Amino acid sequence: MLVRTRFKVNGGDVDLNIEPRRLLVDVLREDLNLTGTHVGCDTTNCGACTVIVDGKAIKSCTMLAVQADGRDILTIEGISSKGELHPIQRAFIEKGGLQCGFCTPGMIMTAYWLLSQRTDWSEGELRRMLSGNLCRCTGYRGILDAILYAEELMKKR
Amino acid sequence: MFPAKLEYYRPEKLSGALELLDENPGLIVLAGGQSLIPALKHRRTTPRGLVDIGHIRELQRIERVGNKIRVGSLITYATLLNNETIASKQPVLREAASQIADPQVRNVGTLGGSLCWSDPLYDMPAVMHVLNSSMIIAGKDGERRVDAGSFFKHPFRTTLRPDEILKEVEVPVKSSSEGYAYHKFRKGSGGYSITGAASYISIGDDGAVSNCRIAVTAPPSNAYRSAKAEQWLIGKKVSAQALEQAAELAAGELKSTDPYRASWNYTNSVLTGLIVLSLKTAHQNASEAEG
Amino acid sequence: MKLPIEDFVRGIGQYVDDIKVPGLLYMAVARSPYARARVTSVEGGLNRSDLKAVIGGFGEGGRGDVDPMLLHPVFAQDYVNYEGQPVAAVFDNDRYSAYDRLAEVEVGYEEMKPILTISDALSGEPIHVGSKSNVIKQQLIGGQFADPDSPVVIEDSFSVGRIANNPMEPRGILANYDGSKLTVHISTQSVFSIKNGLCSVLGLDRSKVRVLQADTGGAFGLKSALYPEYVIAAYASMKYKKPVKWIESRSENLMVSQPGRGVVGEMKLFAEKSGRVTAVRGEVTTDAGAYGGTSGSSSPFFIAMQLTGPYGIERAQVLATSVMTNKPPQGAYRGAGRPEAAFFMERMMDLLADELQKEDNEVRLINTTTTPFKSPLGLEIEASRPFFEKALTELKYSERSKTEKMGLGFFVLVSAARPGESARIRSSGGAVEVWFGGSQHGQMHILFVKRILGEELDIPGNLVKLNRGDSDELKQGVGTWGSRSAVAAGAALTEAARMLRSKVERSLGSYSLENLLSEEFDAEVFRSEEEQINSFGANTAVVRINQFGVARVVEIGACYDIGRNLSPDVVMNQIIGGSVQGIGQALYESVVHDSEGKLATRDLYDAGLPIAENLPDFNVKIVEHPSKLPHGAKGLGEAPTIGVPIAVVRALEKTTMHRIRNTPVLPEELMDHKNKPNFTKPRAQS
Repeated sequence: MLVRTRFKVNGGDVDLNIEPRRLLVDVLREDLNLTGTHVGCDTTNCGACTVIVDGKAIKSCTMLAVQADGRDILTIEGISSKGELHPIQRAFIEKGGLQCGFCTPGMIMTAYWLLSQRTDWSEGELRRMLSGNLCRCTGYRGILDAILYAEELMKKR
Repeated sequence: MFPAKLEYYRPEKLSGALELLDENPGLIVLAGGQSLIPALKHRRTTPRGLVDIGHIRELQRIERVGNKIRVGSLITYATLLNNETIASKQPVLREAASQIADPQVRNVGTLGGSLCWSDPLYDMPAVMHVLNSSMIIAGKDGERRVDAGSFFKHPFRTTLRPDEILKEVEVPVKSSSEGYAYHKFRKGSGGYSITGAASYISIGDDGAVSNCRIAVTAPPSNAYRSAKAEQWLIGKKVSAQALEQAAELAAGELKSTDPYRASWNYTNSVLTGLIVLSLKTAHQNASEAEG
Repeated sequence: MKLPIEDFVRGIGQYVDDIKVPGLLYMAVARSPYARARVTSVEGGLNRSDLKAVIGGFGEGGRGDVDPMLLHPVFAQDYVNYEGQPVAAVFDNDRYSAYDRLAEVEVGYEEMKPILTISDALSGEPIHVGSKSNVIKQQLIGGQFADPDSPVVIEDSFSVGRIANNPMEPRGILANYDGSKLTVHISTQSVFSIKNGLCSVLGLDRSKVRVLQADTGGAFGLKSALYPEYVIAAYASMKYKKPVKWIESRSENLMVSQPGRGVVGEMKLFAEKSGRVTAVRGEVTTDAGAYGGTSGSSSPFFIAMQLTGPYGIERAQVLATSVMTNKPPQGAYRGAGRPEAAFFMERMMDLLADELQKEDNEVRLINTTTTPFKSPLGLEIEASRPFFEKALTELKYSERSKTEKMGLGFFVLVSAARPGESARIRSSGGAVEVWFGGSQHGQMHILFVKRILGEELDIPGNLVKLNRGDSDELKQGVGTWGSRSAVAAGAALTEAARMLRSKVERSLGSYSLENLLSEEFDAEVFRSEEEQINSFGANTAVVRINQFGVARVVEIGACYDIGRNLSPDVVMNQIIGGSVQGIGQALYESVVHDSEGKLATRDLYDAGLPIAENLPDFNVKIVEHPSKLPHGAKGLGEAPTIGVPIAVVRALEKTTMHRIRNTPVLPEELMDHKNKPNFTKPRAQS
């Protein structure tokens, strides 16, 4: 059984016939060649697969692609504008927010979602709001520094 | 890692969803999917297909009806956190939601979905118990109500029939002199509930406890209410000793634990302290004016 | 030159699952549901009837000198010996269908009772039919001596539980055989480990095998070993003449990919009343899991060698044993024996301090050395006292421990510099490219590469590119692990740079950047290193424990001698990341099996991976006392995983007044004993 599913990804229209069992993350990575969204676990813990659907950060490994019908999706590939890095991306580079880079797209998308709501998160609040994003390399310090710095950059904009 | 092949239907209306379930045995309901999809991925469940109710508007409302609030079953934890009616009229739902899962899962996971999943690790059933909430269930022949005490049967099983859909959860508006609380306990890094304590206290004109409900999140069993502890506390004035005693009674009813997550002794000790905290918080909330 | 991190923040990295080739077959692995069973029949997929090879001795700590009957079979043969052991593999054009095909594999098992603890393994029947016991190897390290006539004798035993490495990217490989050449893309710490392994196990012509490192999403020791799944993927590609991709799930990763640690240490210390240790006896036993040939086979000997740490202990002997159980084979996890060695010795130092009612720093300092020292166990150290006195001052230990219950740990970091490393520099078309025998996976080696090339050859950083590992681009190589990169790869790079300089001088009369860039020059060096390049470190920790025994690390202090600080930002990142892993070892992380040998800690939460809320404050002081290597570097990467658990455990002890012997330290232990002193003697001050 294939189900016709229409949605937007990074501003572009997508119209696909999809097997219902396929996860959104796999359709993004394979059918749309957007391999920036990563799969780090199979129990909805790690958050490496985080994308934004209708303005909310969600774990794309725990959504069926067919559920995306009618929705507006933003992935890591979609946040830079005309090739120019988004302030959050710049902040991650400048503040040591990544080492191996595997958790990074998920971290950045969660940060993007948080900063789209407010740019005055405290570090304590950020620590709690990152509970759905795991990192093994950085110990989270660089990531927190990056997001706090991105807040400053975005406030100035 | 990946779900088995399955069928998929996406009705626009509740009536359409009910029809699909009635006419196609073997289809199950997909709400937010935060419980179901992991189970599909590991093939712990391999249903014939899914009825995706995620687009059904009637299930996405929060309405004040007299001294009750009707929360649509598709209301997400994120909405519970941000909704004004909930914040002012029944804040324990918000307090509990804030302790559940993580932000991404809360953005998608629904109250109804997690209640119907009835995983003993989940926190909301205990909260439903102390709210004495009613589940409003839609079937092809109309609606029926089941109170929280009767809704959760076994781990992973509720009284919902395969052709029914949980439509709304009805909870009381918190009035003054009433207070609710939920305290969850998990170990240091990210993790599952070891235990949790939900409580409700109402204070009478004489300053003593006129009513109370104490419910415990108790994996691997379903959440339980401790009638023993409740009956003991009713009529007494709130004091440290009274709360301790009630907590010990309630904690003592814990059946078993998952030994690979925590021993019974440890959980019992934690639970005693946790119930005291929960009762204290509920008592404090009872002393605040109605929002 | 663009840095890889710029690609990573854009989501355009090329991790192995991002690599697409036409005609790809996906592989799924059928695994044993039992920890121990006789395999009576296997039908479906590729299985033992197709390939009877065994694996041993590749990657960090791997040992080839193990009895062949104890080695890991690629496909299970007559027995399975751990839950999840590969039994068969199936293939299909998409990953979902490949997973479906697992249902086609039918295996007959006769369940057997698994052996799950070291003591059961030592007393029970051998798990490998035909072998004498469950001991892979046992050896006495150090010299014989009679017990000294010292007034203080302390004995105790400790354990460090198994931990899953959990890099955020699980294992993955893409093997592509085109009829004559096998090209492998893999998430790895060492393309040469993988190439050597595949060629050896499958009997391949080395000139027909190329292994390339894909962007690697963390490793921490997990990805230097040769795993059966890699061999199966390569074998299948050659059999079907199609590219084969295998990407494991996290569940598989937690179940079978060689977890680290899992060691018991029994210690006996002899000391004078002054605190000076006159002798130490130890028994170190590693739970090596079900098969030999992995780092589990070398672990206890490596631990034994380091047991005296930074102390001048003249008499020492250790019985080191690696033992088999029905669990996944043990592997290297950041530290790989160093944390265990330091934990055992430092616990004894704390017991000694308590016994003598002396301060933790006092008892340690009196045992440090004022001259270079070679311990009876084989560890060579520089004079240790100067560093540790400085570290104590930098960390303000004496002052702070008067008012705070501060834990302290001293250690030696043994950089795995041996046997050396390859480096190659090629200058061509205005760009300067570098290859190492090892493969970075987040450590930003590019920064020390730029520093060294800048210092040696005046090359501006923006011209420099560090390429991913590629076995076609170097004659040989070792790998990235064991805190060795700045040390071994850096030294090799320095030599290669000097060789390049000579080449330019010989060809063009003199060296200048202009001359270098004017023509093509290429220099490759394998720099041997047989000496020990060891360095010192100290950690402190302060904790808080709530009413439920849930501990939180509030602050980590670190003072490390890194020889030369070639890239300050990277140094901090490594220290913080490694410290959080150290906290994970101390408080949260474990690999637990139930009584049937089935994994109980089946996801990342149960495995105990630290989250952002667990991050403490840091107080870091770097000391630079150059090594004798041409570029002066010493090791760093594993330092925090050695010192942090020690300091945290001592802080917990001081806070609860309860003796701690094992990691992880669970809330149950801290809650029960809070406020109930059970040290042998009460401390003079609390």
